[in-house]
Amino acid sequence: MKKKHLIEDPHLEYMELAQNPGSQTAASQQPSAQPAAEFKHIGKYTPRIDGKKIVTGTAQFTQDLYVDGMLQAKILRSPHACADLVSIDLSQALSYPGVKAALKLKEGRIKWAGEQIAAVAAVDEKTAEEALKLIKVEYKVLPHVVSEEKAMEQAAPLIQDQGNVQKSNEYNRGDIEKGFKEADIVFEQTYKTSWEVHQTAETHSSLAKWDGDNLTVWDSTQAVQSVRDGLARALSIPASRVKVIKHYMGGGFGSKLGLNDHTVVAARLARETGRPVKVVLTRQENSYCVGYRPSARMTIKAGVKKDGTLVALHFKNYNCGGIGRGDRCAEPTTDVYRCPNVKVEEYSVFVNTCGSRATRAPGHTQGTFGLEGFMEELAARLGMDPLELRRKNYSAKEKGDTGNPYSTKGLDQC
Amino acid sequence: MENSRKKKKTVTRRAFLQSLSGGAVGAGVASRVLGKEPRSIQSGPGEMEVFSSKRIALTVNGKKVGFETEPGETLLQVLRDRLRLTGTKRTCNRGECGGCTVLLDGKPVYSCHILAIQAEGKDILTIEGLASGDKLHPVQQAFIDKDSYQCGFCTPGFIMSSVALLDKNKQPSLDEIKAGLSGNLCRCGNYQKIHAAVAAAADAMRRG
Repeated sequence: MKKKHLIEDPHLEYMELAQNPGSQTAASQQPSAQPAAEFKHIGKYTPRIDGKKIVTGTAQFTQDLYVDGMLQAKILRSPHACADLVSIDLSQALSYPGVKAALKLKEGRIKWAGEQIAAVAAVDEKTAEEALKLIKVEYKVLPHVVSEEKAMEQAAPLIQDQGNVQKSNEYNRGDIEKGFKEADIVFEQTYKTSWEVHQTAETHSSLAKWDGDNLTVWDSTQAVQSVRDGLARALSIPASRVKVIKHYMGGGFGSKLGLNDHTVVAARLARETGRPVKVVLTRQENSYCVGYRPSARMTIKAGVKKDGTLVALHFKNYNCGGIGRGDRCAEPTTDVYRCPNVKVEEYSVFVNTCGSRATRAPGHTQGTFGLEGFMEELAARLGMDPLELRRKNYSAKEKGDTGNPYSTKGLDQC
Repeated sequence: MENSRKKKKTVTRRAFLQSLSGGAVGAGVASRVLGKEPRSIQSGPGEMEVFSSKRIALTVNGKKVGFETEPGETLLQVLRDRLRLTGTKRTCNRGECGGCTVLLDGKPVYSCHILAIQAEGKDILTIEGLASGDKLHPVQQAFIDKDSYQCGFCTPGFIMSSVALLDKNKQPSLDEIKAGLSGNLCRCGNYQKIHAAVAAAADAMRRG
């Protein structure tokens, strides 16, 4: 079949492309480029349209919004990492002057210190804070575990019925045993990364306002649509009745992707009181209630030839993201360098802390730290220049030179 | 408090902590310690006036404003909650990040770490008072020209610290700029462009 050219033949049909994926060819000639000096925008400085608002302090972030009749809410959180909730008594808080509503937010098993227990909406933040102290909560405190090593022990309290250590990822390419047999040198190292909290400059905040059956939420969020859909599900109302607005956000770094629990609280308290309700988390709440980058404990074992050629790579990782599954960190190892025999085993270790959350390149940050630290040490072990070792195993395609070509990479040009 | 105020021209973080008797750190503590009835308590180096609420007047951006304040109410709370000057940000609210920086008699201070009553009788300048009408302060203009913000949340605090620095030092070196802004944190990591803006503003201000 004659190959058609996409640029020369703009009528190439989609179905034909789908049925014969090789039927297109690369461009036969470079399109003629305009000289850079003639560009109108590229390479030229363009001031941000919101610059003046930012430098004059008139850019309104969620915490800066004050609307008529607005109440402020505060959330009572569990001081215990593991407990059964026996009872919550809101009566004294409800009768505190200035308090307009209070909600119970939890029943059953508490799995991390910081879980929402109850909330109060009051005329101002200080009143809400004082009222929180009047909420009586009875807990049946249970044994907990927050250390990853202890969680892996036989006697550790169970965070999940299926066990505190669960397989979260596996991958095989080639034959790892054969690879190690072919190797002149086998080298192994372990790399650990710790938890890392996003600590956005603006703490997570939401302002909720009902207009009849329609809800408007101003949220400090990276994802207005998913907050809208999450609110609709949480409140059992159609998404068409929810509008989520974000004008300015003081940093997110992944911790403001998706709906937050306190946003639902603001919406529920606003519905109950018939008034707008704002929740602004404190710096302390931002430190332990809205996620973090999970830890990793990566053991990398490589089989190499004397000249530095990788013939086997084994990546074993225990990642810990509290009550969540943590990140998969293997992709740099499976992808970046050419190696025919690769094996990956990753496990999630569960402990009694808030679940981890996406943090700027989830999994890749930990995985790249492990892999590139390993390449440095491997180069030293081989007596090789670290850049030379990387060039030696350079891969132009993902999946260790077996997948799709990289659009940009450039390590070979170093 | 009166005595220590006369002795020291500005309220330092150290003096503030000492006035709360060393261990009692944080503005919220004051109201719990003090109770409802006016009385005096001995608190370390000086005597502290105790009240449940008090009418005070502050001079903010050249205008005098009077209101009732409660013990433990910080300058930051007053600026934001009472005066709606929300350009001053509540960021860490514990005297560590500089997001709430305002100028008190020309000196940069963390407004989350100063009680409203401590600011009485002083000139308070916030980000809202920096421009003259439509004409931006050279530091504000330089932040726009050098694209010195990403999310923009820490920007007002950085600008106020920069203004204070350039008031003292007309031609700061890069190291002096870094030292002058060492009390402000930018979580997006935009420091290089912030430093460039301060240098550009210094040039512009020298040219007049």
